[in-house]
Amino acid sequence: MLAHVLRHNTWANLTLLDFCREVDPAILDMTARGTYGTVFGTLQHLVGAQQWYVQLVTGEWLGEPIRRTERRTVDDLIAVARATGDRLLRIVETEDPDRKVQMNEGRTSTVGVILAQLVHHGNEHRTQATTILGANGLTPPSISGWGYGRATGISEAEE
Amino acid sequence: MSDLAILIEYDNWATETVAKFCAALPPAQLELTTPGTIGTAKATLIHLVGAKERYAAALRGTPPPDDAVRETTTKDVAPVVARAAKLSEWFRGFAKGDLDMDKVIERRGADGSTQHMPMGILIAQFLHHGNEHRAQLGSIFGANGIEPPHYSAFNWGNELGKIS
Repeated sequence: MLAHVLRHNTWANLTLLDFCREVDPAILDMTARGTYGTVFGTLQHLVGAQQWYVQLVTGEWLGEPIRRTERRTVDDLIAVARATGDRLLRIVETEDPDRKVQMNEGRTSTVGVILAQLVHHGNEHRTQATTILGANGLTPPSISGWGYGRATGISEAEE
Repeated sequence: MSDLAILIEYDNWATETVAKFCAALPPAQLELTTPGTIGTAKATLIHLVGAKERYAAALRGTPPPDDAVRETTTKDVAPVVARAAKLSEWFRGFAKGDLDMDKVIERRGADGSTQHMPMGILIAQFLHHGNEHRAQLGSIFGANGIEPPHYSAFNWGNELGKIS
C-alpha cells in the first residue's frame, strides 16, 4: 500500500538532486537558521540515511556507504537515491512490517518503524533544503505529493 | 498492522506531539517564525491540522465537520489539540479498512475546483504534508533557540517499544 508514498519519496529526492546539479555550486553551501546545515550537507545526510535504512532491512549496501566525514558528488547521491528507491519498492512488496531487524548498538526495530522513519526523514530534510533555498531568495522545485502526481501524469491535483 | 497503518499511526503521534508542545508554549512563542517557512508557529500548526481535516474529508467523501480546524477561522491552539486527537481516531479506523490505493478520490482544490486522484496520491501528499510542516515547526523553534519536541519515527518506535 506504500508504493505511491515511496515513489513520491524517490521522485522528490531526485527532483531536488537534479535541481542541485543545475544550480551555481555556491548555492549548495547556503544554509539557514533552524535547519540541519548546508543544502548539500542536508541532501547527503538524507541519501546516506536512506542507504542505511535500506541496509538495515536487506543487509546490503547499495553503493559505497556514504560517510559524514566525506563529500560525495551530486551524481553519486543521485545514483544511491535511485538504487535505494528502486529497492524500497521491492521491500514493501515482500517484507513483513512486524519483522524485527538488528540496528546499531545492539538495538532492534521492526521493518515498519524503519519505513516510517525513512519517509519522515526524507520529507523532513527535503523541507529543510527547501527552507534554506527559500530563506536565500530562491524558488525551490515543487516536491509535494501533488507535484509527484502531476509529474507522473497520474493526477492533476494542485495545492 | 499494515505498513500504511504504521505510517498513519506515526503521523497521528507526531502531529499530536507537536500540537501538545505548541499548546504548552507562551503565546508570544507561537508567533515566532523563521525565513523560508510558511509563517508563524501557530499558523503552521493550524495549517498542518486544517489540511489533515481536508484529507480526511476527501477520503470520507463528506465535508469537514463544523468544528473542524480551518486556517480562516481557528485562532487558538487548544481546539487544534482536540481536533488532532479526533483526526487520529478517524485515521486509525480508516487504516484498518480494506483500502484500494487506486480508488479515485474527489477533492475540492484551494481554488474551488474539483480534483480527482487515486487514493495512493492523496495518501502520499498527506504524509508528505504532515512531515513537511512538522519540519518547518522544528526549524522555527530551532532558529529561535527553543528545543523542538523529538518527533521522529525512531522516537515514536522507542516510545512504543517497537525499537528495543
